[in-house]
Amino acid sequence: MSLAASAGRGPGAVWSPTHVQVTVLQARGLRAKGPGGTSDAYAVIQVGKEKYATSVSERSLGAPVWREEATFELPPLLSSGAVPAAAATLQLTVLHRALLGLDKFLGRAEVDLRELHRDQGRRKTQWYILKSKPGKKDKERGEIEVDIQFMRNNMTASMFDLSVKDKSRNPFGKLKDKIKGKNKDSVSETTSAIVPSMSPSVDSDDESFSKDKKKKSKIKTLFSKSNLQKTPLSQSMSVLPTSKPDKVLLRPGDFQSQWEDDDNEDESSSSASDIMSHKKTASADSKQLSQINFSLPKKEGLSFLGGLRSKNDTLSRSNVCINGNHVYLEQPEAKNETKESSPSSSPSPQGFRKKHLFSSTENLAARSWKEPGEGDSLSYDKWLSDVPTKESMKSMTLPSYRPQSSGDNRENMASANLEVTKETKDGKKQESKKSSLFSLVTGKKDVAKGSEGESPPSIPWKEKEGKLKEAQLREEDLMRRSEKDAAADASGQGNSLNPFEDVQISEPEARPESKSEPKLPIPSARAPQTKAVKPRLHPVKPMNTTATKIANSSLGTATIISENLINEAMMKKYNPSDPAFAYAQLTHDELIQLVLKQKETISKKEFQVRELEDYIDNLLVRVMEETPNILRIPAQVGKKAGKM
Amino acid sequence: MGNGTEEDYNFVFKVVLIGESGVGKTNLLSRFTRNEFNHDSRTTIGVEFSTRTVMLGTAAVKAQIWDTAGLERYRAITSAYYRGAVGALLVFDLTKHQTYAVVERWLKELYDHAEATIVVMLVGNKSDLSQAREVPTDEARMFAENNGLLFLETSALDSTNVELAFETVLKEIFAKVSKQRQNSTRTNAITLGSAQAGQEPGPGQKRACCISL
Repeated sequence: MSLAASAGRGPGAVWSPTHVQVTVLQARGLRAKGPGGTSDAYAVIQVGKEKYATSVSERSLGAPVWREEATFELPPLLSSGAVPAAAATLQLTVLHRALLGLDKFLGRAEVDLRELHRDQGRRKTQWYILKSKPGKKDKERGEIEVDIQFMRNNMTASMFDLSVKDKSRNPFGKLKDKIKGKNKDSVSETTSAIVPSMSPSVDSDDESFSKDKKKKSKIKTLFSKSNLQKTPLSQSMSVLPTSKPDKVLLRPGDFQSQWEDDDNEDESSSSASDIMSHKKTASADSKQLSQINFSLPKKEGLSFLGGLRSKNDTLSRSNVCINGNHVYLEQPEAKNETKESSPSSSPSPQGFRKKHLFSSTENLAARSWKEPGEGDSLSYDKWLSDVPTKESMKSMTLPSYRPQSSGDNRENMASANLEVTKETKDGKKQESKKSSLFSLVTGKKDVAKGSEGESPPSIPWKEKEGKLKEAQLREEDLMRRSEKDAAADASGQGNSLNPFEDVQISEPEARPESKSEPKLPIPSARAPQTKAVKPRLHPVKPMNTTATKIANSSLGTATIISENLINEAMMKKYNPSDPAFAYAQLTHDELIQLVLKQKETISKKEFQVRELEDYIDNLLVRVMEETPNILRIPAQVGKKAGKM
Repeated sequence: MGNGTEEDYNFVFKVVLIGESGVGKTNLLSRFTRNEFNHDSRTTIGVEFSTRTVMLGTAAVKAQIWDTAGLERYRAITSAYYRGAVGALLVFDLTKHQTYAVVERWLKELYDHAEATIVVMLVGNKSDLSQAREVPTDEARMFAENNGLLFLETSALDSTNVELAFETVLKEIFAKVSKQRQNSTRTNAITLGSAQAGQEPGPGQKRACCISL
């Protein structure tokens, strides 16, 4: 498929993953450190200096089940061997949570990610034997089952998308981003820098995002989260319990990675630009729909449109489109919806569309790509065909179907989106936050959309849409739901209407729609995700409900994961209106820091109070010595002592 | 006792209220001087005083009662607060033994800064909260006797013994002053003129006191 092709295209047969997602599934044969042959086991996942901890599996009889994931950013050139071993080694440490004193060591395992990637490729699930600490006698410490999945999130491939995807997929990564506050911005920047042809549109978007800074980054994260949540959640939820590596691969992350890789490869070849766009779109569709909305979606939409247009006449195109729709569906649909919404007056969708349009227009390369993209589209079709089988793919496709359903559907969608947006706004704070984030993003996007070149893509979309409509009606419904959420977000954005109009006029409607559609679905997904506000919580939660429960019970866990779990629990406990809600989202470390800060503040204030008291005392002394009468309490009843 | 106008008095006696924070010093003061009681009075900040003129026999005595926060730490005002005081009410909360346990520390501070002849009354306040009593009356009375203090249990809330407490202190002061006046009749005026707020306990002719205020 396109994936394979993309992989082959890359700068070498060996693709270079940017991230690795480590899922600690379970352990067995652990030594008992707790009462009754049990142990309160948790695992620390570390790559380089970054580490995460799972929740504590309490009273586990040597076989705790965690199913928690963490995503690490891999140093560049992982496969080249230029990376120091420490930075490319996955360290797994299983500990027993001690009620008092230091947690007890249960075992550790190290995985050379370079080697694993070289030998095993994209994903590997296997048991690793737990060993003793270096220099100590080896005991029978059991083993730990870990799923290691290499991913590539590239904009240039597509740094933007990747970043977003990464964030969305990787709760940990999100958490990290939040903590560090670097990832989003940095990612956007990197992406812009990386992608030259795409860069104009992307850059503009990125820049606007960067300008928005934290808020935008938050938004991005939210989007990414939403994306992640949608795909990841579905994936994680369904996949994690069962062995769904294949599905996972198919799902956004895999697609993204593959697509991204393809994109990168494509980029390497000048003609690849079209392919890139297609790939990107595909990737965006699968996982990054939300992300794509910002940057990639546009590109994807354009590329898709181009591919579709070129292939519009042929059934194969439609099929491809459908498939693509599945993957891309969200994007195209979103665009359609946005178009519709724009007329109806759904600002947000329009904004998204505009953004997409802009990206698409800006992504002129995408149009050009469309022509060359046909081949790519084929690959996409393949992808799509593969993807559709999966549920996640369906969800993805649904959005696209909506657009395909055509103007009516789009219109409906738009209206629905508007309604949804209202509902969402009224409803959850999280949603409102998301919407605001979207609005910020959209506002930027709208500006970008103002630029040209959306018309060509739109046409192909329409054609495709017509074909797809029938088959995709169901999907459209689903998409609509998601789109509604997205629309809500978009509505938050508000002023995108004009951009939409522009887009529609320009013809690129289809493209913009496609873009907007993906965005729309994404927002819906995001909305739920945004609830958690913190990315950490979301990712972690999806991983395992049990983990959250455990985390709740085990407040002592200092690890991020445990904190996340606790946070989740806290989130559940507190209503958004509750003042404690804000703190419920904080990690244990953050809370500690907060307490320390407040203690410092208090001590400072106490010092100030003391100084003020001394000052007043000195004043009082002078008053008492010179004019004591002014200290006399004003005699109200005064002189007449009402005697009892 | 009889009430008098500010202008119409023969003596001005400075009396200080001391004791732990929250024992009711300020309410004792307001009850005595204004017949008021504030249920949600806040911790006293700074220093303030209030006056009430009481007739002791034929003499009009103006009680100038000072109140401040019952803080543990030394404050710059401490010295000025005690300066010139001829009477003191050392108040504790009979429902909080801790406030009674530190009476000795307050006594020490009092004697460090005030005249040795100062008249001191130990006051167990909040007698209306008898069900919550933590300091037995006998114990406090015993302590007072051993330390040469007057003793009364009061309630600023229901006014029990408030009037009596202040009047007892003022009478005691007045008696001391009268005795000193008899001992050294004519040299006393000198001291009186020194401080405005504070009144020298001992010496003082009936009319001479007016000088200070």
